Amino acid sequence: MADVIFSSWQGEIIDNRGKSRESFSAPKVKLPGEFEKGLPVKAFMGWDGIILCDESVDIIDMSVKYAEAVQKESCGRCVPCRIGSKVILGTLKGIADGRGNKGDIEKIRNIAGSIKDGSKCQIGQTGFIPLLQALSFFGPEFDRSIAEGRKAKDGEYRISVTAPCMSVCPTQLDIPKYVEAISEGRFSESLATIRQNTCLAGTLGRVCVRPCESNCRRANIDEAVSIKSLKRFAADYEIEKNVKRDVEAKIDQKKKVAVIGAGPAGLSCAYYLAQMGYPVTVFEKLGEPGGMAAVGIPDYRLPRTVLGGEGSLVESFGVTMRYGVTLGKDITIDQIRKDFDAVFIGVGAHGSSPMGVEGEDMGYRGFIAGVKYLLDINNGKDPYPEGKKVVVVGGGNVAMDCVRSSFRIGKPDVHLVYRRTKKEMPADPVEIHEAEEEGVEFHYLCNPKRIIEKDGKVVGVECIRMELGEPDQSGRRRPVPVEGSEFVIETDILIPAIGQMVDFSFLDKKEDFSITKWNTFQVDQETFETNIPGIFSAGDCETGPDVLVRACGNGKRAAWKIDEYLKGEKPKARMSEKFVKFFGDVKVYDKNENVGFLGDRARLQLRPMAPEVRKWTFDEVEEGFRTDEAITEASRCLRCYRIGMIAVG
Amino acid sequence: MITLKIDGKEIKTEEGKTILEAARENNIYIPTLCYHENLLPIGSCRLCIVEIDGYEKPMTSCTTAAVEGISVTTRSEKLFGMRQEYLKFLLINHPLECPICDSAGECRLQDLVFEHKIECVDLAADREPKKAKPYATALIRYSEDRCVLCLRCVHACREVSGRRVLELAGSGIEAAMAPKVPEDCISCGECLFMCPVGALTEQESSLKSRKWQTKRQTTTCPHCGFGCSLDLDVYEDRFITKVVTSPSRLPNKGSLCVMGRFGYDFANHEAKLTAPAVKQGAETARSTLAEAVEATALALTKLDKEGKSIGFVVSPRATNEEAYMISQIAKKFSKSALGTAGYYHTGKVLETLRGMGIPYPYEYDAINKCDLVVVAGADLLGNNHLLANKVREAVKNNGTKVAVIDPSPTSLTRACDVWAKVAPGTDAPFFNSIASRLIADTKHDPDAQALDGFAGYAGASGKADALKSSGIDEKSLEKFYSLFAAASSVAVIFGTGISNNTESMEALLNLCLVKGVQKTGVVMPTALQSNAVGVLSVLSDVLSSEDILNRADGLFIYEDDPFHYLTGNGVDESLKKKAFVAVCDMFATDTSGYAQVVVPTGSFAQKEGSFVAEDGFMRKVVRAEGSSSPGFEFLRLLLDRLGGGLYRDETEASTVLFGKEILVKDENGRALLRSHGGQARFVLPGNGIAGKTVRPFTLVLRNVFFHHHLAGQGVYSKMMYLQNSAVAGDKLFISAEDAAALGVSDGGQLIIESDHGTAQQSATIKEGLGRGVLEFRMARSRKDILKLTDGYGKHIAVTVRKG
Repeated sequence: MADVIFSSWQGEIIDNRGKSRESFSAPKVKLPGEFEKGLPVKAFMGWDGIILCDESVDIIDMSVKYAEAVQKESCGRCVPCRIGSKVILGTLKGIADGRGNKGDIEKIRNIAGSIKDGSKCQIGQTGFIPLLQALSFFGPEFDRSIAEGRKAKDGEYRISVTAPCMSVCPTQLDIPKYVEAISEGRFSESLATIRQNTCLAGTLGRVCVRPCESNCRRANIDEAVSIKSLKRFAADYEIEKNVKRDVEAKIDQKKKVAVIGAGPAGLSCAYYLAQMGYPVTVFEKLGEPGGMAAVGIPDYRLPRTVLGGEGSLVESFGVTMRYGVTLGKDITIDQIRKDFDAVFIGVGAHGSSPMGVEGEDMGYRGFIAGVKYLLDINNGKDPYPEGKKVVVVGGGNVAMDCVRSSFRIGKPDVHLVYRRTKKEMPADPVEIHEAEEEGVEFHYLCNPKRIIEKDGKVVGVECIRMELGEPDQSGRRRPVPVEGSEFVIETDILIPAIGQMVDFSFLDKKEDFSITKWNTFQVDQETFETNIPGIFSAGDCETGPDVLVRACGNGKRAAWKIDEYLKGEKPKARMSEKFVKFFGDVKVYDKNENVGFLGDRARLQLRPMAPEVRKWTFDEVEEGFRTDEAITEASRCLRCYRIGMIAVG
Repeated sequence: MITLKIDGKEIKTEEGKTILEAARENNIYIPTLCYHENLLPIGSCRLCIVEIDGYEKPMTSCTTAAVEGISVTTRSEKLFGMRQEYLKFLLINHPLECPICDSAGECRLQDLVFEHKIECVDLAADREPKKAKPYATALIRYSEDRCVLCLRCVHACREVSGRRVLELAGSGIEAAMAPKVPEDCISCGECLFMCPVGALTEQESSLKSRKWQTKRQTTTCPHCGFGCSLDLDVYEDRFITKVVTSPSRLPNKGSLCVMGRFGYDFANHEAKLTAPAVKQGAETARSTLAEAVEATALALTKLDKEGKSIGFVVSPRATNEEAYMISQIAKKFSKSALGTAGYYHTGKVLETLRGMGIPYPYEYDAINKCDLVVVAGADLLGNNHLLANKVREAVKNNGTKVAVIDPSPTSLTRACDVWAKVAPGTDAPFFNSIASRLIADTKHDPDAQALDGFAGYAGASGKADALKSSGIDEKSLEKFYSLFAAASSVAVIFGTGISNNTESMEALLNLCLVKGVQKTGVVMPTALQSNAVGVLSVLSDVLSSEDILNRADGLFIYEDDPFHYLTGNGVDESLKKKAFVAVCDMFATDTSGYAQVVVPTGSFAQKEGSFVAEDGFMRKVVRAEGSSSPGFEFLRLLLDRLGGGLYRDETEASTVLFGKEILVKDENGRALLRSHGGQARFVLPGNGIAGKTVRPFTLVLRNVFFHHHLAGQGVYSKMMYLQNSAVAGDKLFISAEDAAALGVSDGGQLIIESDHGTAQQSATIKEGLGRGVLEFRMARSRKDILKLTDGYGKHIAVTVRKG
């Protein structure tokens, strides 16, 4: 961490100028000492203020460079920002060149004020906040420059644009841009924007856990924008209106890459590598793309046709897909290493975690792991036709998928057992709500203890009541069994859905790889390289079971590293990736900010089918936005782009 | 309704309105530059900012919802200062070209700068100098340095016109509007209409005038059946210098197509006939109007006395009043018959609607309430561009779904949810199968069962095997069916592609009855010409022009040229045989060469009277130049000479139309056609396929804007309308697959043979065109392709080989 000489970040004024280091007061928000190795963070200028860590930074030069960035990022869609920022830039440059005039400061202050108050989006609304602060807190520097005709000292900076929603997106979707395109009726452009950062627009538009929406500034004035559903709209529009994709495969590199697993990570990795010109072959055990998204997520949440279309999008960039090829059986990793110059492993986490209950390894009929249960259903099979009553154990999305799918294969009596309460459930609240609507019976605060069988068939499960004790590492209160509270739920089917793990059986020599203590591939967190040169890994097999969008983002980032590796360079984080981390530290979203606008426009929701109708069909639960709804919803976006600039030299 | 305060005044408005809309409804002025009522709010100019009590920051009233209980301030020192500042920003690089700018005097920037008392701009912002660049269409000049980047044009191009020509390019001070995809431009001029300043101006006007030098008159566009309102700027009572439109006037709300916006130049053309001519022996001599009346009356009376028949061919672009006068003239002869080119489409359509008891007229805005629009056999690019705009408006505002039924890509295929490429003339089995499935799935309107003919219809419709011949793919069929079955209200728009074949039209209308479209939605036939509906309603027992041409001994042709749409040889032979031919027209035409009497009629700008547009509502045609219409004057005097009485003027003729209840007034006082009423009934479906000949290709003829009968006469000086491939005319299109099978490359020669003739054309490959379909877009040169048809044909069975 660097010592802060001055900070006006988030309204907290720290002024250590002229003080001795020992008497410095420390701000709430701290900056990392280095942006990258050898590049110190000397100062930061952003949407909310200034943080100065090194007195050698010339505040006037920094102001000029920041104004330059604002003018460059100004999209041209509104008058104050487009022209006003250029007027300010011109005047500031005059001062920095030693040609400043006496009235300049007042002029800048006035213009900056009207840009801030009247611009269409946050580029203009926040673009001159640091400048106004510089004029307030560093006034004498400006006055002196003008009086003496002093030229400013040229510094070195790193600049990036972010937004509250973007800053938390694991695959860094340019959300304000694609949402704005929808609001203007430019639906294909919107999809093209999404596809710059992911090949899975339709998939993420349905099943993403949407960290962006929790960071949506619109929530400060009414409710978050339906970012996820808008993404789905853009993707569906292409299919519904039969829009021709403007894609041309351009494979012009010699070195070949193998991608193992056509899940979100593998598809993403292949998608970017192919766009960089590499011939990519994807080996997939299943007969279709999507991996866990295809076989783990039921059709009523994510129709397979959507994934199929996105798989074919990846193919259209020149990727070779080899479906139905199982690694370790049809082909070995050694063979692949021989045939390809680099390998990406994205096999996911398809194994089931054990529950630790009596009888679970006995192979009783009716005892089916959640992932396997969903796989069968997705393959059009009833996993256990003679079973009618179902008990699912777990509180995550897989558990929800298992209970809701059970209705859809005609099992009318469905129960869910979870050891904590509804509040602690990790599943998406929407999923929980919809499962309740469909009539799942929830048993909170109880845990299975023993499988009850008869003639090798499950007939019931003995559970014990739990109560919540002290919080554990995850911050959730730890459930503690209540002595003597055992009871039995009769059932034909018992489904553990308490977690997945990586199934390493595809490796002949697992010992060649470094494996973490969580039983995942050990990779360099910046480059996704495993301990074996040329083999990279990302997705659930590297992170452990995680959200889909993270696998997308990491698959993409791994592709960048593979490119560097194949070019003979040492893979390293891109500037954009460093900024992601940096913005995480300075916090792009402040949920307590008083935005100062009238909102009062409720967020539009998708229309769900009635629970009694939908629970018996695999048809999609919700209908996507109509054109008019999408435009209306998209127009709620406040386009909170912000510019961050770091002085490094 | 919600209540809010604006500038201390309590007002009420509907929920969902913006503050700006609420203010405007209540005559509270808020300055705007980028806002346009036809577009979604843009929010680029920031001039409509207002302050709301309790909220820290000013907000744009065009994008902020009016909310119950808020108190809004539209005028304050702060707001005035901000607006002034933004206007100053705009002036920094704005050239002081007002003296030479076409928009001077009606420029929003001029008004706003004046209003905000700006006297000088003491600011600077460096910008690259703007060089003159070509625009997407040569009809419009783009002066980039005058652009205020309000972005209305960019938005209008997509939202209203459904094109994607214009983009915002660059960023910061260098951001600019750019015609990025010029080949997509259809020269509709929507961008020109939207431009609040002089950045987009009409390029090719040979004659320009200042706003204060011209007289502005509102009238109706003469070019297609939609019936757009437009204003003509007339200089010195002689020249139209500009077409202007207003967003407040229905039905087009200021939008026009290329012909409406730019196609007025023919009215100024120097070749306009100025005096009548009468043939005496072999000599044609200039005559007075009285001499022409006398010569015509004598010749027609003579024929009548000889027991010969007299045929009248009336243009579907003539006014109701002209048509009425002609009908009265015809009555003066014992053997007379009336015909019009409007018969081929509108005539058949009206007959069928009446026969089946389907309500007509309809209202365009009824589309807005429908959740599905079916557009069958109507291009909506070559004519009725505005109807396509209406559909797009419904999609934008209500999320309406769109289904297109056409073998060829049309204006709406890019925005539709399903495009059923039904082979030309095979629509009947397609519609019948949809109908029988609706009945089988009990997704039909229950009331339909009570209608006459249902039992016979339900039994006979939808033979699955016949469906195969329509060439439609399973996926489109399924999609169409599911959309149609699910829709609660449907608008069915259909054009010549359907009316060309009676079975197709009846099958479509039967399907409408099965679904109950006539009750819950709207059945909307297009009309090609500005007064086709009016002429067909004013005249009774109307035949086709071809029938008249074939059977009459003497001909009276009013503003029509059969060479324009019938086979040349046939017309020539028939005209040569006539004992007498009188032609009334604005210009000399191919037909007027055969006439003994030629009388000038003047342009639409000289006319007074009315049209009935395709919606069945009357439109006023108001004289914008001169003091009388030479055509009406001739008809008036001729009728009087024949003993039919002397009508004072057009108004007297109009009054008669209302007296006879051809036109009536609705509860809002709007004039419209009297509804034919009656109970809806089914007709027994034909499931046969049109065309007896076994030829593998169907040639589809389409008119590209130039269905006006003067198109071939070279009187439209702005022929560069057709510069863009999107609307290119006089071209023969073929699908890529058929071209490959024939071994023809793009631009290669094709020999086309029909039962009636042979033609050679170079082929243009068109993406999306159905297999087995050739399309010819007729602009100027049509005679050659018309050789292939026997009479009037839109679909011609042909054989094709490489030339």
